[in-house]
Amino acid sequence: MLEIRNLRATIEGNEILHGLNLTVKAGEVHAIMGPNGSGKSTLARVIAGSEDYEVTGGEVLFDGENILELEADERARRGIFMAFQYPVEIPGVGNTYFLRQALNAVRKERGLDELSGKEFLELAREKARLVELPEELMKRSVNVGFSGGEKKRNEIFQMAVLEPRFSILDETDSGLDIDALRVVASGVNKLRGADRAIVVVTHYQRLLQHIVPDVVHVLVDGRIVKTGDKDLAEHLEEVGYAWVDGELKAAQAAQA
Amino acid sequence: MTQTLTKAARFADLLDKSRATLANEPAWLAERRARAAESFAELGLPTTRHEDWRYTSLARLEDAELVPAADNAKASPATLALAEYAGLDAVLLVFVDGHYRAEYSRAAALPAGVVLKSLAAAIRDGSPLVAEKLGRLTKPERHSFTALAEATFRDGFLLHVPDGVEVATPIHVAFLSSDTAAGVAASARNLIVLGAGAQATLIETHAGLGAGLHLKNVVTEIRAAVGARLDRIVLQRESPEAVHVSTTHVYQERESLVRSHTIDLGGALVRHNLVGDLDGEACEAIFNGLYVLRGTQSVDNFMWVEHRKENIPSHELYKGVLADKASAVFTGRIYVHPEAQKTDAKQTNQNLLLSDSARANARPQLEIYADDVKCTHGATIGQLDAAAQFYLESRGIDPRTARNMLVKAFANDIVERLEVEPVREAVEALLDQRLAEMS
Ligand SMILES: Nc1ncnc2c1ncn2[C@@H]1O[C@H](COP(=O)(O)OP(=O)(O)OP(=O)(O)O)[C@@H](O)[C@H]1O
Ligand SMILES: [Mg+2]
Repeated sequence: MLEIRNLRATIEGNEILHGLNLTVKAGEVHAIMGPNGSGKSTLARVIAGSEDYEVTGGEVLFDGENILELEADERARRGIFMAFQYPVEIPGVGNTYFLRQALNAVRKERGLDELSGKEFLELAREKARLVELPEELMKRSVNVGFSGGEKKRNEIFQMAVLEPRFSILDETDSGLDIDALRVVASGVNKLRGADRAIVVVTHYQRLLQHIVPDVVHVLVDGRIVKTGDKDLAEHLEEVGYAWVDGELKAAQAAQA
Repeated sequence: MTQTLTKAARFADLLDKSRATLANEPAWLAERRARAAESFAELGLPTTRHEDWRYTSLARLEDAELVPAADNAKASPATLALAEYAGLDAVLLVFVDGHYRAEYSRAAALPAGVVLKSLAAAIRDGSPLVAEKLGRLTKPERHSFTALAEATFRDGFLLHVPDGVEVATPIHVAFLSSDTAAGVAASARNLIVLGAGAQATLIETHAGLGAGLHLKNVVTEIRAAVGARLDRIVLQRESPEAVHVSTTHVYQERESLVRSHTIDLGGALVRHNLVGDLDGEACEAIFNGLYVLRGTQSVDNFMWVEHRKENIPSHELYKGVLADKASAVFTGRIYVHPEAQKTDAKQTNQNLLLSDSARANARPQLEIYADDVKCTHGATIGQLDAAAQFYLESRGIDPRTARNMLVKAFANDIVERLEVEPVREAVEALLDQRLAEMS
């Protein structure tokens, strides 16, 4: 479904992704782990189409089509979704209004009718229950006055409403309490499907006990340096990234 | 031999042509007009060398050959439609090119004692209130446009709400420009007198559709006696080449409240002078504004608020959205007299620039002679929040719609304060329309 080939991306002249490869098939859930500053959010934001980054090489194929040519909104309408590590507060833009606009834009692209305000509210209520997002939050401005955890839930709520085919969740677990983690994870699990793929970026093995990944990657210094199954995450938790670093250096030394 | 008039002389020519005398004009007014004409001849039009006009050039007026307005210009149905707000149940006074037009106006029952009529008619009828109050707040010897209005006004409106009377029905006064207003200069004078404890809601619409430069010059005096309350909304949507100058003096006594909201969408060049003379303890003034401009439109808000007594809050929030080469100026002068302890003056001007060629200037000017006061001012000139824009787009919303959502969120701070719902809804619709026109 998503195939990233040799992706290079820079921000303000600094190269952050140094030729990254990643393949995610329909129906799969992948996890990406990696130290702070290694480029996980960069990857997520480049996939989503942020203009802060310049892609200097490589491809991102979604269903075989290179999406790097598409604007962020076009990508979203095709079914790509990123849950932000730091969701943005937008005073004055109502959460419900915003999400209805978004859903209708997505539906239009899919050849579906736009939902009326009432139809949307019904759907939104149902999805809000899925992530136990208090209905009262839907009435507020986007993310304004939300606690850290509420913002994360709101991201998954949006995902549930928009039903993207490919989602990358950037540290959606950080800032969640134990109960919220379970709720969000079960929400994500309900969104798994044969024609969908999800990538979760996380620092913690704990999330992966709830959302069990098919594949685990380790991203270090702008590259995927190790790929394995869920046991890799457990192993990482025990030994830390120094181990990967060591392996990486060994590999580089062997190459040289 | 033909002579070319100098620019200043040309304007004086306008003055000569338009010096008005109303039927039955009393001697006091005739004298005042003569003095105002002299003042205007001396002052001329302000130039950008004048500190208060530094960013707004009136060159286009000097180059224009303006003539007085006819008193019977026809208002087309489309123009008259500008005076309608769906669902608004209001008394309606319509002026066309500065002349009151009964045939376009709509009466409604007002409480006993309330006077709402053409100022010319009030003068003709020998109104003692007008004789006593008209021109008490204005300074024609100092301000060109006030002098011009005094010398040349044909009409305007008088609103008098006696002590203790609450007018529940909104009062709507529409100053329309005819489709043939090109080249016309129309001045109007308005007098609003609220007695002790009186209450009223006033909507002023300034609008037109015709092509061509014309000048609308409006001088308004508002007096709010002890405990009076005025809620005023001004919607300015003049035609694209119009020059609109307003000068509004607000005089407030103890515990009165004046809320004034000015929405600017139209005109080529707009200047609002707003003077708040806060002369009673614990009175409150709220002067807010919103301008959403494109092309080469410019709006210049010049505020002057004087705190003369103790314990007075005054709040000004002016927000602007500027696209293309539009420009805006905000000058906010707050003068706190030594007696005005416990002043709470807050002034904010926020501009959102949608293009690199748009310009905004904000000049706060505080003069404080009391020591126990809270005076704050803030001015921001910024662009759309790129992070917010990306967030919206990342959910599938196209860039234009995302921009419009953010602009409306910004403007909504002012729009949501418009307490007359049909007017608020109309402004929302006009904003949508304006945003749709913006590239
Ligand atoms: N504007 C910028 N200019 C230069 N470097 C930047 C800029 N923005 C981000 N970076 C750098 O890019 C690198 C990758 O950042 P990124 O946010 O992708 O890391 P991350 O893996 O998500 O880290 P974390 O686990 O802390 O979220 C970091 O070293 C960061 O400092
Ligand atoms: Mg990150």
